[in-house]
Formats: sequence, C-alpha cells, structure tokens
Amino acid sequence: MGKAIEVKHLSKAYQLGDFGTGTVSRDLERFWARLRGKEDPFLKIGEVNDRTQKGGSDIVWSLNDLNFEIEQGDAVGVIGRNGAGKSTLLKILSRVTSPTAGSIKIKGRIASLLEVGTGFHPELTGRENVYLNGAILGMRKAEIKRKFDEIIDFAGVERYVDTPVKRYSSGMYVRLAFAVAAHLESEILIVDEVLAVGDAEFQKKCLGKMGDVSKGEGRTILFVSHNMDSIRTLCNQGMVLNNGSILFNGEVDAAINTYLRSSKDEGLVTSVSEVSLSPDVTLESFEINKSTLVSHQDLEFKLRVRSSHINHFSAAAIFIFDELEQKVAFFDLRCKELYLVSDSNENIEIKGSFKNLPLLPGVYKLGVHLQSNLLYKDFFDLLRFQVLQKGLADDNLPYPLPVRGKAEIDYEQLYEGKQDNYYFHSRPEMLPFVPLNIRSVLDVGCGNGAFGLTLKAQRSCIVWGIEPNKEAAQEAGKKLDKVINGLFVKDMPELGDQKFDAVFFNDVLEHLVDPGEALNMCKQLLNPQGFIIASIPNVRWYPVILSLLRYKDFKYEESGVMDKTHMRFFTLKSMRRLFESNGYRVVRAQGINKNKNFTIFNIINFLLFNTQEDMKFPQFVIVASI
Amino acid sequence: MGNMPDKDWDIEITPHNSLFDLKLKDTWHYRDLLFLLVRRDFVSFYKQTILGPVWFFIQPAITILIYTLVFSNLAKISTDDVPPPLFYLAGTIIWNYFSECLTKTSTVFKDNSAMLGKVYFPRLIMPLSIVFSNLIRFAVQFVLFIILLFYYYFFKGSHIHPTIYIALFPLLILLIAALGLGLGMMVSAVTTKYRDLAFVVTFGVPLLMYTTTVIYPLSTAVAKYPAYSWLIKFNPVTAVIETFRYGFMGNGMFSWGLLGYSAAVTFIILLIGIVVFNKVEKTFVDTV
Repeated sequence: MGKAIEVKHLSKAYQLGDFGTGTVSRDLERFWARLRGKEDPFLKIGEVNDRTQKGGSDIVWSLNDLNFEIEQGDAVGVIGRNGAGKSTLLKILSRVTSPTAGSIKIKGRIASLLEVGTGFHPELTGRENVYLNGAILGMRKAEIKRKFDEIIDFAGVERYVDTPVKRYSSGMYVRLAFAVAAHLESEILIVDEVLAVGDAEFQKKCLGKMGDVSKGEGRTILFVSHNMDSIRTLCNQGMVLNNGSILFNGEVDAAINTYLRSSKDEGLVTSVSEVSLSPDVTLESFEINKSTLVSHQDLEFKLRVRSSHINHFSAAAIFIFDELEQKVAFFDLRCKELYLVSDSNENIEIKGSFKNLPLLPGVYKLGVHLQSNLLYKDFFDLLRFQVLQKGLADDNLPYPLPVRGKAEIDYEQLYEGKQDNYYFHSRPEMLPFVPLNIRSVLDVGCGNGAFGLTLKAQRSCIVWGIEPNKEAAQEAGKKLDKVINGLFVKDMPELGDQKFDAVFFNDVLEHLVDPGEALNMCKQLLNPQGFIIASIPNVRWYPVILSLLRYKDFKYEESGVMDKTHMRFFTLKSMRRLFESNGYRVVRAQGINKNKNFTIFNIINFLLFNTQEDMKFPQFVIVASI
Repeated sequence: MGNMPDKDWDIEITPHNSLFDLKLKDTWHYRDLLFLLVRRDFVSFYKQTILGPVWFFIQPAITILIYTLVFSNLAKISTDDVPPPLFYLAGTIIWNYFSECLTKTSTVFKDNSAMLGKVYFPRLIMPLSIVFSNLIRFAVQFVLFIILLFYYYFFKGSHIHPTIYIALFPLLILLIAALGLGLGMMVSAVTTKYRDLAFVVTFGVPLLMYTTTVIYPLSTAVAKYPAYSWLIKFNPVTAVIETFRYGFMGNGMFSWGLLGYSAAVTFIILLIGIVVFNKVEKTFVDTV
C-alpha cells in the first residue's frame, strides 16, 4: 500500500490577543520585511506552544515542525490534551486554514467532518438540507440523489424528510447530519470529536460505519477523540500530540499508553479562567472548592460564562471523565433560571455542589458542555481532581480498584432476609470480631468457603476448613488453603498437628450433639494466644419468644434461629456457661444482626427498663480464649 | 515508495499559492453547491413571511414612490422627459443590485465564518452565491420595470423609444455584478482582520449612490456642474445606468468610450478582488 498523506515540517502560528491598532503597524513591518526578502521578524520558529506559560511574543506555535506519513487504509487516532494541536492539524488537513510553514501532500479525495450539520439551515426541510450539506461536503447532486434513500434510512428520519429541520429533535438533527457525511465517497476521512452528541446507540452505529469505511473499503481515517475506547476500537495507529509536537506515532495501544502516562504527570487543577470558548463566548472562570476529596463527599463548583452579547443558553452540563477519558458522569444544569438569566445578561454564573459524589479513588477530569445561540460544544479536561478512599465502617479492607469499577453506590445492608442458601455466606458481620494480626484460621463448617475467602482477602492469613457437605467442601477447596470433607470432631485427626490463631464456629455449635466435647477438643488446635470465635443463634430472640407466648407454638423452620437441623438451643447465658464450663475465658459476647426497625418489642423492653436487651439479637458472637 | 513523483499526489497544501491560481476549475466542480446556496437564500428569505416573494416588489415600489415625491415633485430635478417613476426605477434596480452585491460580499467571511471554519470548499462559491441570489431579486424587480415600461408606452403614450442598444443588457448585468463582486471581495479581504472598512461600507455605499445617475440624468449634472461632472462620469456604475436607460427608453447619454472605460475598470477590480480574496481565504479562519 502506498502513502495517503505525507506531512513535512508542518508548522502553524497563531497570533494571540486582539487585532487592534498595534497590528496595523506590525503588519506593515512584516510586509516590509518580506518585500526585502528577509525573515518575518515576528515569527520565531521553535518557540514551544505552552498556553500556560507566557511566551516572549504574541505569536504562539500551535503546531511545530510536524513530520509524519500515513499509509493508505490506516485508521489513525490523534490523541492529545486540549490545545495540543489536534484540531489545528485537522483544520489544515481539511484545508480550512493554511499552514504557516511546511507542506502536506495528499493522495485521493478528502472528506472532513469537523462538525456535523455544517450549513444546515433551520428553515429548510430535511431533504433540502441533505442536498445542501452534501454539496458543501463536495458531493455532486447526482451522487446525493443516488444515495438519498440510504442516507435517510441510516438516520432513521423517513417520516420527517419534508419537515423543516428546526422542528427536529437535536438527536434527529445530529443523526441526519452525520448520515450525510458518512455516505461521502472519499479516500480519506477526517473526523473531529463530533460524536460527543447523539445517543449511545447512534454513536455506536456511527463508529461502526466509520469502521466499515476504514477496514472494509480500504479508506484512510484520521480520528480525533477524547474517548480512548473509541480510539482503540476504531484505529490501528495512534499519534500523540503534545504542545504542537508529536510525542509518539505508532501502534495504537502504545500511543494510548504514552498519552496516559504523559497526562498522569500533570497536577490537579481546581480552577481555570478566561478560556475562550468561541469568538463570542468566554469561560470567565470554572472552579471547584477542593482538589482532593474522599469518596461520598460533596464537591462545590462555580461556573462563570461571559458572552460578548446577550445570548440565550438552552443547555449547560458538566461531565466527569476518568483518566482513560471515559465519561463517568454527567450533570445536567438546565433550569428555568439559566434560560431567564441568559436572556437578559451577558454574564452567567452557575454555582452548585455535587452531593455525595460516589466516585472511587482516582484522578478525574471535569469538562463542560454549553449550548446557546452562539455555541454548541463540549470542552474537555478543564479541571482535575483526586478522589481518595473513604474509611470503611467496619475494618474491611477495600478490594482493589479494577474490581470495584468507577462508582460506589450507597445501599442499605440487608442481611436478615431469608437465608436461602445454607452454604453460601460471606458473613461480613463477623469481620469486626476477627483480630487483625491472625495468620492461620480454621473455619469449622466452612460451607462453600465464602467466609474463608473474605478472611483471606481481609487479613491475608491461611484459612483451612472442615465441611460435612461434599459439594460445598469441593467448592470451598478451590478457595481455601485446605478443606477437609468431614465432621468436626470425628475427622479432626486429618488436620494433623497444625495450630491455629483462630477457630471459627459460624453457626455450627448448635448443630453438634455435644458442643462441649467439640470445644474441649479445640484446645489442641489453638495456639496459646488463639481464640475461638463462634456465632450462635439466640433462642430468646423476641420473635421466637413472641411465637411461644402469644401463638403458643414452637415451630421449626428451614433456616434461622428455629432451624430444624439445630440440636441445641442457647441463650446468651447458656452460651457463656458452655464456654466457661469447658475451660475458656469469654473475651467478648455481643449480639449481631439485630432488627433495626422499631417494633412492639422496643416498647416492651423500654417498659421493663431495658432488661431484655438480649432478645433483640437473633445471634450472638462469642470470642473466647483458653 | 519514498520517491513518489509529485504528480501522483492529488492535493498539495503549502503556505503560499501562486498569486494567479484562481481555482476556477475547483469552483466549477462545486457548481451544484452554488445552485443550492442560491436556492437556500431564496427559500429562507420568504419562509414564514405572509407576502413571500412579493417583498421583492414592495421595496423598489416604495423607493420610487418616495423618490418621485421628493426629487421630482418637491426638488424638481429633471428626468429628461421620461416619466419619473420609470426613470427612478431604472436607476434604482441597477444600483440596488450593485450595492447588495458589494455590501453582502464585503462581509461574506464574517457572516459565514461558522460554515467556512468547518468545511473546505472553494471559497469563491460564497460570494458567487451572493451575486446569483441577488440576480434573482434583480430579475423580479426587472419584471416590475418592464410592466411599468409597457404601461407608460402603450397607455400613457409617454416619450419612450427603445433602441438597438437594448442588446447590451446582458453585458450590463455582467458588468454591474462583476463590479459589485470585485469591490466586495477587496473589502472582505481587509475586513477579516480590520472591521473598520465594514463601517465605511455601511454608511458609504448609500452615499455613493449620489455620485452616479440614479436620481438625476447625466445631462443635468453636466449642465449644472461642468467642472465636476467628470467625477460622475468616472464612476463605473454611471456608464451602466446610462446605457441601460438609453437601451430601454432612448434617454440619457450613451458613449462606447464611457462603457469601454467602465468595462476595463470592472475587469481590473474583479481580478484584484479575486486575487486578494484567494489570498485571504486561506487563513481568514484564524483572524475573523
């Protein structure tokens, strides 16, 4: 395959500031210098384009000596921060503006899509606009006529073909506009970030169509996007621009990595000011009140927009992007006040706060979308802030970030529901009772190993288990360090002379014919400083007592306190006695999983001076040492 | 692959083009766009209006009514035996066409920056579409003129006699369009960077009307101000209006010399206009 585009020493300079009276004399000076065959005194090649620093002159180099080639059939993703020169490069390639120096050679027809719907006239019908827009993009009338049905079909606006586009929804408008561009016959397609608008399904369809263009028909694509995922799906090559120079040019994954690495180095930004959004609209300031926050904290923001004249705003929104430039969240700022204020004021100020931001730890970027008579655009990567891990209520260590995704949803913990699977419980309520420094654990009745796995993740200790159910034991064997399929006391010899820092009896002792014997035998398994940690159902749980007293019934159930497989029933007192009579010292005895709702029992307990506290809990946890 | 001969490349983008590369071939390829833009202007002009294209008539009708009242009846400026409404209409429609072409073209970059900043097409299409859009307007107003002409000729028996020079009509249209276009493009090239000239055009063009023979005949001007009448003669629009009146009504001063001068000036202005326009269009996006 041959080359499609060859760029040599491409540079582009922009003049900063206003064009005022000063520019006339300078223009004359430049003109005079050129006449005498001298170098332009105001263009110093080589100055770096860094908008954050004030350069020596008013000239800024948006592109600085670019050299690259693009092979026919390649799909090249152009990546870079705002102001890196991406848009300038595309503008020059699509011949909207000229380079200051250097040359570009192109083979084949170019179709460029720097904006969807260029030249759409609101008064004209969909049909008329398709023809007009097609002609603007360089299609002949016959060509549009041939593809007209296909275009309308792609956009899905058959019913509205003869309706003026001002009556279209914005989604239909964008779809129709893109459909025209997607059907251009050209060897090279240049696409700027135009797909930020439109619904997700259509975005996918567009990406698919563009993919067809590149892979199926051997066309060359240049694609600018802030979304690394679409770049990765669509492109095979990547070019990273930074301050007007090429930082990397090559295989797409390597390019994305280079970009991510380079953008990570940069610090957090809590405010920007005087960002020119369009010739008429300036982002006067955009601030957040802190650069670093903890998950689920609030974040206040302030956005001030200044226009050169009164300018009806129909939409405003703030985006949150993650480091991979994936859009994480969107805050719709449309409201009646926005419309009213913008109808009578050149300046708009929007203040507010994101409540209870559920983002997981990481660096996030804020962008803005604004839509008015003068403006319809997204602005990415304006601010950056960092989110830190929130301290957890219990001592659970957080899972690694890739496991947890991007956001953490607030929820109610509901562990009192019907326990429909006997062998599948991770028992997070037990974790607060687990000492921090344990290294080896035996989980008696380990079920399928869910609890043991939690322990391993949280305390990084060795976990062994014993489980009589064969399937559950097999399942647990995949998760834990060693699992014995058998009964506790009977098959204890299989544990060998391994000693443990803790032995767990999660709802086990009540199933045993002789729990005292089990506890006695356990002494051989424990290290001298070891603990037994046991959860035991409480027969004095008030629903049980209520049933006994009021309904005169003692009914076994499938699970819970009145589980039909229970051999024995305990109260807090009898639990303590069980441990103490077998030579243990009860370190801690605490109820768990109590019903948080207000019930008749709360009143009874109150009337009895809170002497019946133990009835609140369906279970107790006993922590005992030798 | 490295040494691909230059002729294999279809497009070459460089900072500077040859001064006289007028891109006419490129422009020809986009002729459908020209047609569609003209159509767009025409359709969007009367959509959501009650009277629609009738507005094209109303404007000149009221103008000549006022002119007749003020200049003919009140100020008693001679119209060389031609019925005053006919005399003014002839001058007005030509002048209007010229001034519309000039003012609209002079702000073409500013008015269309949103579109021109996003897509490439030969920029010359834009001013050309203005010229053609206004030509439709001119045609409608010309119909009004012809109706009035017949009315006075057949029903009023006015002193009107069309001459053979009526055949020059297409050339006159070409000249006036080219003049408006050329001047407009020259102004537009400057206004992309310095808006001052746009203000000059806004108030200057209506005043400029008085330096040509819209509301008075050339003969009167020559008779009254013999020393300054060259100013009026050297306005290239004068020859066009005078020839137009002479062709359709047999009134006014016609000379090949004056028309030739006008044609020459128009050609030079058009050429300069296209050259500066092509030079500016490459980078106007950065400055407008």
